[in-house]
Amino acid sequence: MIAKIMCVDDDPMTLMLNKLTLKKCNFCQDALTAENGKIAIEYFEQQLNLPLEKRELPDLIFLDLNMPEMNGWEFLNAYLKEYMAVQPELKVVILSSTVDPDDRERAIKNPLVIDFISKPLTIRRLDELKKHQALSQYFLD
Amino acid sequence: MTKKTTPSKVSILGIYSEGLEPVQDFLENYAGSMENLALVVAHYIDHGLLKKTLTQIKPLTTMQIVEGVDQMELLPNTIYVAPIGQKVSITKTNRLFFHSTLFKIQEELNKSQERFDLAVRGSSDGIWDWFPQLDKAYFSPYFSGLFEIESNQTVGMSTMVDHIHPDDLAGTQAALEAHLRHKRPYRVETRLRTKGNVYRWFFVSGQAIWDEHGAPIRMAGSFTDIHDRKIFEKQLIRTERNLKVAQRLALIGDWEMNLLEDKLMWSDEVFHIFGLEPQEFEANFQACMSHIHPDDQDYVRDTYFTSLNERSAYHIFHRIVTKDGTIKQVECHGESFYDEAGNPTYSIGTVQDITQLKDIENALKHNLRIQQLEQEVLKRNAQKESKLEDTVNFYLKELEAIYKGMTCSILKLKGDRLYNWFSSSIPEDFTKVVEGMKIGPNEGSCGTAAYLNQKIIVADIATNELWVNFKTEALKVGLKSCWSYPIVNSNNIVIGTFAMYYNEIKCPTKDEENAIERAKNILQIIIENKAFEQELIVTNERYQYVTKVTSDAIWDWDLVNQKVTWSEAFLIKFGYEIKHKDQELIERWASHIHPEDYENVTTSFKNTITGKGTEWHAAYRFQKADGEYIYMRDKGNIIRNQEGKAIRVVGAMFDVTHEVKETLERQKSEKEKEIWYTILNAINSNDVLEKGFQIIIKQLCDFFECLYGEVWLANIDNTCLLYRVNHTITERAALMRGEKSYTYIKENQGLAGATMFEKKIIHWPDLQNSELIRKDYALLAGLNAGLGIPVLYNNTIIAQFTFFAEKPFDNEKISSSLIENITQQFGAYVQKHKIDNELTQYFNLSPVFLCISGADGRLKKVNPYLMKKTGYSEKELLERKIIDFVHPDDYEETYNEIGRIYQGFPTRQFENRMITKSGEAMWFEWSALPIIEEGLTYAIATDITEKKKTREERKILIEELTKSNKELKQFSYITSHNLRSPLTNMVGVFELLDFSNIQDEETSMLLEILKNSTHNLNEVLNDLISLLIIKENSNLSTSNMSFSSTFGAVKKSINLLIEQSQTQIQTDFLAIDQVNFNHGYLESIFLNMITNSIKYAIPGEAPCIQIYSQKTENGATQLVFEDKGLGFDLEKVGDRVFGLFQKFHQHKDSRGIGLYLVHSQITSLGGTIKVQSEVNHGTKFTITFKG
Repeated sequence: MIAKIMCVDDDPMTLMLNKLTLKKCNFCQDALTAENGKIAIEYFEQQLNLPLEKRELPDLIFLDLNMPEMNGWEFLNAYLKEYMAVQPELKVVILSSTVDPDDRERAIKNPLVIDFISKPLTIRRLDELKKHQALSQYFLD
Repeated sequence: MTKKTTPSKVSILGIYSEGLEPVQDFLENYAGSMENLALVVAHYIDHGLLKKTLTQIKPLTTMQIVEGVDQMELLPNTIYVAPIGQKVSITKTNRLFFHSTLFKIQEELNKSQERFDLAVRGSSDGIWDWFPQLDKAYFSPYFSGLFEIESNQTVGMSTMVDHIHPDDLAGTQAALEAHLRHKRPYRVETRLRTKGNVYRWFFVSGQAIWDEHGAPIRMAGSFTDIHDRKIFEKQLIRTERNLKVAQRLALIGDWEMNLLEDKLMWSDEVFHIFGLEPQEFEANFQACMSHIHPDDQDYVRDTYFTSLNERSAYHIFHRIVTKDGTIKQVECHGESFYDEAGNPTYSIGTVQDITQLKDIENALKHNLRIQQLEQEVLKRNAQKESKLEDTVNFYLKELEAIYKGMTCSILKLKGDRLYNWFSSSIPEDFTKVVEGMKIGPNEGSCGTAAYLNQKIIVADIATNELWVNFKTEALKVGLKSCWSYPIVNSNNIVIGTFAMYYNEIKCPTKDEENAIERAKNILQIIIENKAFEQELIVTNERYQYVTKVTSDAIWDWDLVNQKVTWSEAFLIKFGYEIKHKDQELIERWASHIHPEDYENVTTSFKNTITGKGTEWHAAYRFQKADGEYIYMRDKGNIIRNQEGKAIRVVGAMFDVTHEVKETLERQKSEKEKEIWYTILNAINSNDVLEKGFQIIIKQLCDFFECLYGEVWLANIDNTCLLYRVNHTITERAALMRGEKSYTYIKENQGLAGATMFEKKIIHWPDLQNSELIRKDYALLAGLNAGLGIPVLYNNTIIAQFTFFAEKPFDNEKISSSLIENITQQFGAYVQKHKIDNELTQYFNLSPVFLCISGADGRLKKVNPYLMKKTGYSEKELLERKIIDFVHPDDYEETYNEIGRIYQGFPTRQFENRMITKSGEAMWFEWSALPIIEEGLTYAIATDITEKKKTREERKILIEELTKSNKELKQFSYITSHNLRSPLTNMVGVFELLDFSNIQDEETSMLLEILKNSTHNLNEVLNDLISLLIIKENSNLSTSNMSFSSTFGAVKKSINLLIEQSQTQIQTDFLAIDQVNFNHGYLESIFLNMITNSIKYAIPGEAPCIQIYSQKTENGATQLVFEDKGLGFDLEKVGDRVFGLFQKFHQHKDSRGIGLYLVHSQITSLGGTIKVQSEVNHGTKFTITFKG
């Protein structure tokens, strides 16, 4: 099980459903949410100002692409630029309802992104994700 | 006394002089008004004398000699004298600098200007005068007319240099340099740019004056416009070439003898006449003499030098010996030129090979001479008082004179012995031996001839058996051959022998034998019986006998009785029967004279008879019995009585037809050659084919003496003839080219067509009964005969001449060598012109730009279309460099491209902009091919301005379309995304919703419906999105896919469905397992096909699917899906099978998208899909992949 993950999506209903599904699947202990990239970045900013021991940083982010204020792409760029050095272990799974094939191509090329899931997030898809090479260490039992 | 002052006004004039007189002149004119005078004179002028002169003119003047003084104070009333070449600077108030040469310029310019101008004004040449050290030049008024140079002003020489043609600049300057430095003569021919930027040729000469240090002070000279001459020279070269051809035809060559250098120049034809090659013969007088016949050498030399001494024309006939030993007769004409002292400098002249002419002439002369001799002999013999001895001796002497080297003797036979009769020419030593010799079968020539009564020809006395007994004596006196003829009387009894001896070994030629035969006959008559003189003259059987063997008709006209007697030749030669053996009316003869000659002949005869002459001559045409006219030379000897009245005329008519014809033939062939030459000249020297043809047709009409002629020229592929030009002699004949006249003719239409078809000359002498198309016109025009002459080239008719005349054409002319030449040789000339013409047409009419450029970067030739489209005149286009027409933005690229062309690379589809005359940019697409050897580049270009514009517009349009398409795509993506977002939430909700917790059954049922609807909506949306993506992606990535592994993956993903439906799937991919296809699409195809088969299985039956691959005959890969399901009625469904949202079954999952998707996926990658189906029997899909 992953200790802390974050879901970034501008749709509160999606966030709620995601939390339910994650919980049902025993995917993580705690799921943070952020309504867009900017709020997520602010979270990181805030956390990094804390002493090391008090920081609560997610290991995985489920990231939507189309969001107001700061979309998924911008978030990835900002993170790579500012926080990669601080939290290099962070992994990102894109969770989007986009239908543009270019988005998938582009996402996979990003070094942070380990997978691309077309909405909705289902238990079956999460089970598959658990077996992902980058995450299997969290689900050894 | 003299005080140093600073004159307020200093008038200084300078002159430059080498003698005292000009100084005096100068001072008288100027000295009075001056205060100071600087004078430069030659150092050898007597200064004392000068001073005296000066004081005479201006008593108060003093003279100071300044030498090598650069600066000095000027004294009033003083004349300063410096030697020539001395640099004198006189410095004072105005710091005037004097230079000795400047004096001279001012002198020339100020004082002599007017005189000079007057002198040059009338000159057709330009005069220039240049002072190199100052670079000041004066040009006479002539220049302002020709160049943009102000005349009568002194300008820099560079102004003129600017006008020199770039190609001539280096040569001109080198010549100038050579003149100024090394004093070589300055005479150049150069092109200069005259007003309007036209280059013309000029002859420029000049002469400099140097100072004692060798530096040029001044140079003057003249300009002569030689442009026309230059152009003429070029033409001359061509004319000379033609002349050579003409000379060859006429066998005339020309020569020039340079007497000063003993050099002889021969034209090619002279070499040809002498049978020598130009390189193997160094022509000088002596060398030339060595080729002249040894016997004629002295004669030629004497004649030539006599003509030089007497300053008379040189004209001589002599023989030459050619290289191969042939002796030729030549006729030379020459004229000599002399220097002022009267010494001959050179001679020029012609030499003509007249060997053939000479031969004919000689033969004619020879025959004439013999005939005259015979007449004379017969006449003498006829005179009562004549003695046989005299007559015979005269005859033999004359014969000996005609046949050089021959001696004659006549022996008389008495019993069986021969005695000398007439042997005065034979040495006595030999006559003694012969005297009284016995005749016999082996007794020399005469003895044997008399014995056998037949001619005996012994060519070599030394070896002939007959001569064994006599040869010693004969050879002793130099007799080497002997031909002997028996002389017989009327009873054919031998009465003597007639023998000819030669001092060389010799056989008689045919001509000689003929002559001897005649001589013998004559001798027979006069020898046999002098006693029968009366009869001989009047009745004269033997006389007839003589003439029988001659070609001459002898007549005897008794003027008293007006009766004439004819020899038998009248019958033999002319075919007229002799009606009355004795006498006939003279009218009979006269009636056969050619009507055109009748008047002349009869009048001359009458006049001669009534006059005092003893001979009558006439030449006329005489009609033979068969109608043919022969040429006759008639000569009569008039016998008069004591009162001088003519009583009888004895004469002979010689048939000279052969000789006359030969002469006429020669004249004719010369005339033909002349026409041929004119024709060739006409076609060669006229750029416009019609012009040349106009001349040619006129020549030929004259030749045929016909009234009308036409030229037809084959069209471009030689399939028909097109009318070009005509020539009409009379107005009436012009009717031939009536309104309806044909302008083109195909094979076998009328005269021209027949000629074209037969490829040979067609002569229709009677147009009335011919198939002439223009028969009506011809008859109207009074033309009754037609002639078609084809001009062949490679056995194809390339042109044709058609002639019409009142009378049938002369067959001799038709078959003449001139017409033969026109038929066979002329075609090549026409072909050349035709091609040139076609090319010119092509060049002039092509709606593309054609041009030829030279190595100087300028166009040399442009076609009219280029001028039309760019608006420039030809001159403008040729004047500027090509690069100057190029749009500035394309300048560099074009420059580089031109550079490449100069290196020999052809250009293809090079695009650039050129600026037109109106300043607009015009897009050109160029192809160019350089021909390095010619220094020319052949270029073709098209105006692609419109194309460019269209291309540009299309590009913008595509950009716009791409942009809007992209926007649309994005819009559909966003729309889909926005639709999917809430939908996915609903899917998510149902994923999490636990139905077991719902108590109310109705709610549970409703939720179930909602769940299914959500699911269906999601599926529809996903399908639509898939379609969107397929349509969008035109260039999908493909890779080598395996059917079996793709099937495996798909089967795995729908394993549950397969198990639940108990579907049986059999696969066979052994035939081929690999295909180049898109990964996702192949999976989609398998998925859709399998699920379709399951969906549309016959209810209650387990679906059964067969999937296999195969190769077609063409090697294409096919994939087949076959099931035993519901199938469709293809007749009903038709081509809607693969349509979007086409549903053919009532099925809960049927959305009408699967087959559309598969079809789209296959076709988007170039494949095809076919379906076979039968209701309730199953369906078979065959997919054929792109090979």
